[in-house]
Amino acid sequence: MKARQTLSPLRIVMMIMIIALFMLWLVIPFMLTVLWSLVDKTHPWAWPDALPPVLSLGRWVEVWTTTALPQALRNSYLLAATVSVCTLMLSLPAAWAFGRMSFTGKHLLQNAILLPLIVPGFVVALFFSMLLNVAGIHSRFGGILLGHIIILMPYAVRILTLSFSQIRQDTLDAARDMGASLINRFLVACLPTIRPGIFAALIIVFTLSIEEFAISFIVGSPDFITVPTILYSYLGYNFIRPNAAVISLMLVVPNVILMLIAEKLLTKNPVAAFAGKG
Amino acid sequence: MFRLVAAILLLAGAFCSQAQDLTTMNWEQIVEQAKKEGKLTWYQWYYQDRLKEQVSLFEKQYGINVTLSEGTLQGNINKLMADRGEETGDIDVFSIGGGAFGTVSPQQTFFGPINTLLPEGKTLNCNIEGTDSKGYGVAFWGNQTGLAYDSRRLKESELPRTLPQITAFLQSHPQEFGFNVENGGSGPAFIESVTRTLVPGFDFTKGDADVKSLTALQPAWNWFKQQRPNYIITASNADSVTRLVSGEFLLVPAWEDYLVGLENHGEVPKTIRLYIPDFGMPGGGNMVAIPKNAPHKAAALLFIHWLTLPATQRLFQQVYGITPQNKEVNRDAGLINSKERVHSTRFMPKPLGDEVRTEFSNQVLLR
Repeated sequence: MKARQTLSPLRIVMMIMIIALFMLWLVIPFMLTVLWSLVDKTHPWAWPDALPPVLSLGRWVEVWTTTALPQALRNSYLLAATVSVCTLMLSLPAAWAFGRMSFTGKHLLQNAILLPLIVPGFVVALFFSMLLNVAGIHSRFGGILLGHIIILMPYAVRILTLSFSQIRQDTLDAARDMGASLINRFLVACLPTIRPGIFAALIIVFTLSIEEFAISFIVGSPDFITVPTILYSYLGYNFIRPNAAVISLMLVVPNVILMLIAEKLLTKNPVAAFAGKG
Repeated sequence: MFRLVAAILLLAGAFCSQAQDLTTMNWEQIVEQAKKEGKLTWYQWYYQDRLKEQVSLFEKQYGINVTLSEGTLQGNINKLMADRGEETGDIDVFSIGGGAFGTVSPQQTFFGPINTLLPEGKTLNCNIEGTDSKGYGVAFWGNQTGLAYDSRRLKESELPRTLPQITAFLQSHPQEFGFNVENGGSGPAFIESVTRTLVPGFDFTKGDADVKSLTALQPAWNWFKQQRPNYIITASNADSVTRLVSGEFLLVPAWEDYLVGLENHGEVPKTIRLYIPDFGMPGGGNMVAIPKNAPHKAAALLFIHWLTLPATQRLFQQVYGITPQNKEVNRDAGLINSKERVHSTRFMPKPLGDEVRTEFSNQVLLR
């Protein structure tokens, strides 16, 4: 009891520090972004005003009507969803091999698959666009889809390799001994263990695809515009803080909602319940 | 295989003949051809949303649809480089800063010279920010650097106009003067101006950047080192202005067109003013060019003609505060009065201009 009393102030201080850090890192910047996005066009937020003199939704309307944002949002989310599913499907066999099998050159291959991450984005994009030209692939959507799959596969393979390596061999053996078919063995003994990995891979690939600029711009421009292309325009030469705030919020809010949904899905099926670990 | 090679040769021939046709056409034929093409894509890296309003005038006049790309300058340059290997690219009109024009191998990349094809060619400017485009690009957007201040905090009579006054201002207002070294030319313009003033015997027009030349600039680095505690290095042009508007700084180098554009759009208060000090500040600008593999060359040429017409230049002057690049347009407008505009200088030619910036980083910031 005494020990709890002496620890209590420390816990309070730590809690205050964590809350302060949370406020400093996330809440205040987010609130400032919201405030900047609501600054009225005819009343700039300038010295000596501590807060915007007039708030309005004018910036939101302006950005929505004068940029290709509606089209860019449709393009970005359609692309990211397709990239996520395709990358996952293509990564599963490689991840199974890395996670469940032993073979010569395994470590070399595991490192080789990370190569697209080493080269800077624009270098990959430049050579990739030339490659598409040589291959005769002129579809902008198809080109970006292929590019995103290539540069994002390392993430999915890494995550899924770890998930496959966690499957217990005795669970697989037990399912087989009880007469389960190959599909049933995968559904009963594998899927519950790798499900969090699948969701994690989907979220990471989805988020990175939404944020990718180099390939999307080089291959997609000018017909296929994605959200980061517009965001970079506003953060570039003529940085217009209120408009950049609007675009940032439009980009971040759907992603936060997706993250929350994904977190719900991830916590729904604890690995330990199926794999007997914990 | 033979068929493939033949097809490529045929296409290349057709492409060359199209380019050649344009040079042999008279202006009426070019306009006719442009209308037939019916569309073009302009790779521009700033004010894309606002420019749509002015560009719609061209669309209405000629019935040619203009697509303004979204993107950054570096992104656009990368796109230009990626497109260069293709038979037909995506870009019809390409905007680029005068200083960066020489970095993209203009004669290999762009169609031209285009100044001789334009009816107003003789009144246009092909030499900007120390770069001579040799007619492969024409200036459409002039801009002037100066020192920006908030007239509510600094009276006109208090403005430092000479270098000794700047020195005194820095000492009496420490940390209230900021400028950028990277991400924009306003800060480097101030560095160049101070360098010119402190090294008077040096011939800056040659653009030489050998060791002997750079050593001669030492008095400038000594001044910047002495004043180092009194000024702040900002992240970009925009960062300097943002911090001036928020009240952190009293004085920052800035671009005239940038400030006018922001003021006209309500982004910064009308109390923000700009002046050119007596020791001068350089003016620069941006060019437009047509890539060799542009799919709609005639439309692109007609669009560049429209962009550089006196009427369009006057319109841009009113809306964006540009320095007009057609010699027939009066330049006395914008935030800077005509008395101060005489102090406008030219940016140092390359490679000296780039080396001065690098030397500033090496001699002042890294020591």
